[in-house]
Amino acid sequence: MTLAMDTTEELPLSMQPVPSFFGASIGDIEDLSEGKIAVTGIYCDHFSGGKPGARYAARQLRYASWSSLAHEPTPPASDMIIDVGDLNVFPTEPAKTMSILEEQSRRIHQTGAKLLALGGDYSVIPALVLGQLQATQDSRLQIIRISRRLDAATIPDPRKTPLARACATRQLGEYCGGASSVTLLGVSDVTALEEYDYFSGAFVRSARQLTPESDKLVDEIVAGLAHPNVTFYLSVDIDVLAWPSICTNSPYLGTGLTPEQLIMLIEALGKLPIAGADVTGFIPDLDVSGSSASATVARISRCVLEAMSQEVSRCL
Amino acid sequence: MLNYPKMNSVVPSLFDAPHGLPADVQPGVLGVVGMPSDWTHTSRVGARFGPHALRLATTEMTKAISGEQTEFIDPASKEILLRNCDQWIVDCGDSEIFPNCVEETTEAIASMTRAITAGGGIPLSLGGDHYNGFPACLGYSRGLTDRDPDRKFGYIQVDGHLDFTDRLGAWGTHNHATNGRRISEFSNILQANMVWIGISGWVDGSELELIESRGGKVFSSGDVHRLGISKVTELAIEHATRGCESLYVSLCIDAMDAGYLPGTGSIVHSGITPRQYCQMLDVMAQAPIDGLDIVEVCPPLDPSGRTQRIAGHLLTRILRNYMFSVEGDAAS
Amino acid sequence: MPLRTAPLPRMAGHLSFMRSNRAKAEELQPGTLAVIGVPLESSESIMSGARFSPLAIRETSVYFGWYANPQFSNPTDVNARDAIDKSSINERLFDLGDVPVVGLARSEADEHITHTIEKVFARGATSVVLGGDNTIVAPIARGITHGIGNGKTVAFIQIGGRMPGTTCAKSESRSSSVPLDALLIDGNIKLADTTILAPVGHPTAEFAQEMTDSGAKIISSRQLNDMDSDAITDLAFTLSNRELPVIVNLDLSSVAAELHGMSDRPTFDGMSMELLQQVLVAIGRAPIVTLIVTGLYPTTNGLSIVKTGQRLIVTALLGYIRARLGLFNVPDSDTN
Repeated sequence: MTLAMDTTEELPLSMQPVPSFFGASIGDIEDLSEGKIAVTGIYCDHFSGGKPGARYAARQLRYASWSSLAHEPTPPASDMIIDVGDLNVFPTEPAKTMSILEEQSRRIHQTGAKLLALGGDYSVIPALVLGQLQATQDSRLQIIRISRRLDAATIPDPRKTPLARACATRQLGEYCGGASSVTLLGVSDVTALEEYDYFSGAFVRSARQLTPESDKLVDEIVAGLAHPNVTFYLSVDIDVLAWPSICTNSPYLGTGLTPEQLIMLIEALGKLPIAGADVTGFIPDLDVSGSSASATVARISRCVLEAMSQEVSRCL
Repeated sequence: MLNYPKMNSVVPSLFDAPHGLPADVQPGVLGVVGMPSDWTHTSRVGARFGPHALRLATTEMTKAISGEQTEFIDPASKEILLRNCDQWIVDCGDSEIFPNCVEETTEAIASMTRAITAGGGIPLSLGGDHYNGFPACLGYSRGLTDRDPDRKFGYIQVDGHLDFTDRLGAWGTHNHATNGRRISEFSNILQANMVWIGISGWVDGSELELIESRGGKVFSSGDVHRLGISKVTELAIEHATRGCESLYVSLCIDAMDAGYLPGTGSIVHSGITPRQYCQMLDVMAQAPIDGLDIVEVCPPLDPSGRTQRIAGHLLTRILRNYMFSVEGDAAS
Repeated sequence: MPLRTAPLPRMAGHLSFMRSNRAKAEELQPGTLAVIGVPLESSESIMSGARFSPLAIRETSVYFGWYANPQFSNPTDVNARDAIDKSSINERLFDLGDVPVVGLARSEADEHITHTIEKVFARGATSVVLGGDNTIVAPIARGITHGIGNGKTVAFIQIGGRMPGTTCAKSESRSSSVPLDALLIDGNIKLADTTILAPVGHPTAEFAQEMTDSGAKIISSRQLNDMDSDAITDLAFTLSNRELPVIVNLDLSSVAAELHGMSDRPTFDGMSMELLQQVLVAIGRAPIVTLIVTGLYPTTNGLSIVKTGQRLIVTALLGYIRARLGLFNVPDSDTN
């Protein structure tokens, strides 16, 4: 069979790229450097108890950015955003998961890039923050946690239970110098008094207390800082939403924030210097009918990304 | 006096069985243990709802044969079936599950099946994903040793997959792809008496080789279609019970073709129909089974609800000799 | 050192067909097999959702990812007891991604499809196209005929799918949603070079006669079922042993509906999985330039979580891919 002369060489051939977070280019560690943001997925929801399913969030959030499935035209991500794939985890081996997540987070931060982790559940976040601290040696990292739960239970033997959602916020506090290093926003679940007392020195605002005037909130947060020149780690749990069509690990109670309120809150917090972030706790439906929820959470995640990207307008 | 209809139990049980503790299960009686865990499944979750779904489905079936009638007829064989009015099954409830600790979950399940087996009862475990077949069989193995340290057992696994991996990448050594391998390491199992029925598609050649080098047997779905399901089952029982009096059977519903039974995490297109699966269990019902599990029933993956009903029906086939006795001569 | 130093969980990571490497068309070499998605459907079917099929098929296919799935370090077909040669798969199977058709007018989308296929064909590579519905067959055929020169035609094997409702003479009443009709309208095939396997429904007597008179074939699934595997292999080679490039359209309607429930043309007289695999392996050994998979509706009401249709397609494609890349250990048929 003879082929006709190839007349197509002069025509560019574009193909739909593989689904990636926010349409970002796909890369690995060698593509990261100062000023870039590595966006990564976490396929692990094993250490929170409750309902599994958050492991699929990363995949569905990638689809939500894909033109075939996106609900709205998505502006292409900046060249500074790199989708580095999913991090290694060992879902049935918590100690190994803790160790390897620390290592991967450290390696990413050592390049000078920031890390945004999407998907999975909150229980693995302390490992990522620990890796960040090891890489940056930042002794003034502050935690901003947006969730309906405190997750401040007493830490059990870390050798036996290195990862557990119920004590993750307390762990983060311990890493960053104590409870006063943690800001808790959106809390609405009934919680043990001991946990609440642990955060007596912290900045805590329930979902009901959060007002539309988010700028004032930022002023209040800054006013409460013990030191100037701090950086922040922003952890967003989708369970803070009071939105029945979005499924999370925690049972739906109707309390919490609307997506709009959460986005406004994140935009306001973007005036602070955010050095790392995560969006966890989303349990997506795995078929097309669940695409609306995925699109909403993708919008929230993009907001977090923009908060990490923007120039810090606020001097601390 | 009005006869009020029998209402569903507030706490459903398998075949509407009475509730009880594992240690109270009498010899020869089935002790049901629920294993509502799918944390060790590597992809599509939902099997943790399997035990509850099986309880509801079988209770629904039980209503058709409960009441004052005690004699029934099997239209296929014309046999007169006498309902067993003695206690043949006790539901011991669900095991405690520890999502973030595989070891604790394993021991929790094993302790229940051990207690049942040690007392002479027959553990019937409801999954959950197929990893849970390992702790169910672990408890059975320990209980068998408690009863008789010299007793060995054979093993039949009906499955679309071998589950004989030693370590599955990121999932480690204890997940739904390794349960068969872990079971083969029990001290009182006869490795040469391990048999698989219904394996479909691709497997790891080294695992297949290992099973067969130890004397085990694998009947693929192709063998089922080629030899006939009844013949394959007879060969499997013969192989699994050579030189031993005890047999553990693990029923993974995903051996059935996905077109008929889609509500399971790892579907295969094996071509094995529900009718063939039932024929297999009719033969297997005559085998000396003293430990059993049924796994990978995943209701969220089948909106039609037929998966749990088919799975419940499969249980009625393999447990027929517990539910009924056959009247002396078949009706003409 | 890359970021990841351990295997990922099976469902994690970026999506590609069977975890194959991504490539651009210009990187393809002769002898490689390119997987291309065409997420496109028309409004002629009573069902919708075929445009989600490329994604659905890819998702299900990662289970069979070669190098990324440590479960398959020594893959073996358990029925055939046949070790699967994966020595060269990573260098020969590539995922090119999807043709960007979303949001385009139909004519523009068809042009993109044609252009993509033409480019792949010009590189000497063969392709597996994940549709979409069967309205994508015509633009794909145009891509091949553009590649071989004006006026030349291709040979066509249709597996499943609708039969044309009329004879060739009545071309004005053809439906573009029937691939055979569309290809005849375009002039890209001659009836004599056409074969229909396991069609859905029955042809008119006139059309059947016309097919027979021209030397073309219609073979029902029952007839295929009665053939042994050697006869199927011989048939495949006879059908494809021509001087013309051969394109194949595999529509899910060819498979018995009780096995999947995701076709817009269910038939209970369709092929079994085993028969489909035999047919595809036989066809795969023949010089097919493109296999177009259509007719999967993964968002079928109540079934979108079920995934039986896409799993069936992926399982069937495995044999085709192995045969196409010459990775079977069994010697080819003597009629080659």
